[in-house]
Amino acid sequence: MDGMRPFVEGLFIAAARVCGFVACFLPLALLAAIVAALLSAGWSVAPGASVAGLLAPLVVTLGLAVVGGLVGATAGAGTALFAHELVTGVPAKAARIAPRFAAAVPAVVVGWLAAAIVLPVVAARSFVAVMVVAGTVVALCVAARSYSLTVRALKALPASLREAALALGADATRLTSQVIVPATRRRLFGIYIDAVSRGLGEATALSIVFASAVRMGYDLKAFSIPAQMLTHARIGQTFDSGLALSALFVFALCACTRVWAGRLIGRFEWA
Amino acid sequence: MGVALLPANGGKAQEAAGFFGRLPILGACFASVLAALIALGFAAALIAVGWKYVPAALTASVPQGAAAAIWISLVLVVLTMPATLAIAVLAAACAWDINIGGTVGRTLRGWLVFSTSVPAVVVGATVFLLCAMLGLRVGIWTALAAVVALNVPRTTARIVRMLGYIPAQTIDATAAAGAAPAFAFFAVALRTIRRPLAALALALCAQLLGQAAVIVLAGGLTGDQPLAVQIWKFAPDVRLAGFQGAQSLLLVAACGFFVAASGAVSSYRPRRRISAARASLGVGT
Repeated sequence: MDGMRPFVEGLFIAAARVCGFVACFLPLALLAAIVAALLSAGWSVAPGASVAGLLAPLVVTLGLAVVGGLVGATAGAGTALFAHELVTGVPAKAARIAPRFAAAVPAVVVGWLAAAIVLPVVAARSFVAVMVVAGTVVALCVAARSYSLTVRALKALPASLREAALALGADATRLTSQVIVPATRRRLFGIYIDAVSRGLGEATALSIVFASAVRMGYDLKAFSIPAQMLTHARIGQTFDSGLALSALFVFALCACTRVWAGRLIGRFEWA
Repeated sequence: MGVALLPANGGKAQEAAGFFGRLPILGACFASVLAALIALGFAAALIAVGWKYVPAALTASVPQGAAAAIWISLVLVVLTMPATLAIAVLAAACAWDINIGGTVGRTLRGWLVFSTSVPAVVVGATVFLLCAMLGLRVGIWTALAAVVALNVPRTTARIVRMLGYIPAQTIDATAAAGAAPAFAFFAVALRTIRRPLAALALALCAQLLGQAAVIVLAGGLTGDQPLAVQIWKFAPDVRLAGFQGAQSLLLVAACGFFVAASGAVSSYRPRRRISAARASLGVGT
């Protein structure tokens, strides 16, 4: 049965441990690099390189992530419940097309479409209008993942649960509202937190929306932090502590929410 | 569970509870219809804006030309996908079997959720900051390294999840037969998950094609760019909307191809074996 030589076996184990170490400690290495950059650049090299300077972008980031994440997760989870629990046959298959399509659309295309199609037709050139469009963009970016996580949560439920409810005479609506949703409540909450986590790190689509809004003459008070970081590359990258501080903020926010979501969703089902 | 709460008869309180209980259902129906409408509107807008510019975008010269950008995107996928997958498979082996991973494996299982939390923009910015501190120039190689660094933990977590679905009996039988850990991993575990793994590789290709933030920050904006980065670079310029639409359409088509292929591979069931089994049982002949 043992078809490998001890040397090859040992080599494989060593390689696996090295790769495991890399996958495990890569974020810590990134964190160390950010802190080193922060220390080497000093605290006040560039404008906005202080905690106070990041306050307005932080509020925008959190607001967009929470609103967009909640809307996106509701859309994703709702579509999953509808397509996998409430209807069967052709309607179910039709309802599953939208999230599959959304999964194939990169964030850069979502951002471009919002900037090129939606922003020019918005009548009020205000900060709120941009935030509404940006929130919608975040929702679109997180909805597909929320859908797939919810489908996984629904498939993980034991068949006996459904069988017992059906045996008691529950129809599909009652089964979903009084058995399936309560049984997956913890995971659904985790899926919402996961969507917020994704929203916190969204940069590509939002940077396009914000940059286009500025060009179109919208009154913008602040970008979100990730969008600000990416716009940094557009205007010419410079080594400053503002970028390092922003990276640290986004990293901390995403890590906290993601770990929380992971704990709620369960062992590796968040992957 | 919730079944015990099913109201037997009417009553205002029960009706109210029933109404509020059914709110998730209304929400689900609304969300589903809304998602379908948005997807339809999205696809229609993309086709309406970009369709007629596709030939022009494909034949245009740099910097707006899509052909060169698609070529660079494919090169990026060819270079980073195997590297990411190879590292992730080995790391997953480390997390899967304690005999392979030891302490590192145990730590990895606990830390993977944290490892996957780093957003693309942070990885890109960190690589840029690191290069600046070390006096290195950002370019294609730093971008490739950043893309691999971003995707390794996520891919590892997905493979570990797949390995978790292998039945315990299979693992026990392999161990009872005295198989070495490496043999058990390659001949049993990887063989069992070969189809989801192939689907994951295809989904990873789609993911890599769509990545822009990490490449922009870790690779800079000089020289030829992958398609996603090119779209990002020129997106705020509304005068190029037609070209941008065509490029977006091409990118969605490429990503859609890989996503559809991934779905087809993961849902594929070999009919030949079932037919052979049915024939051996004398069913359907």
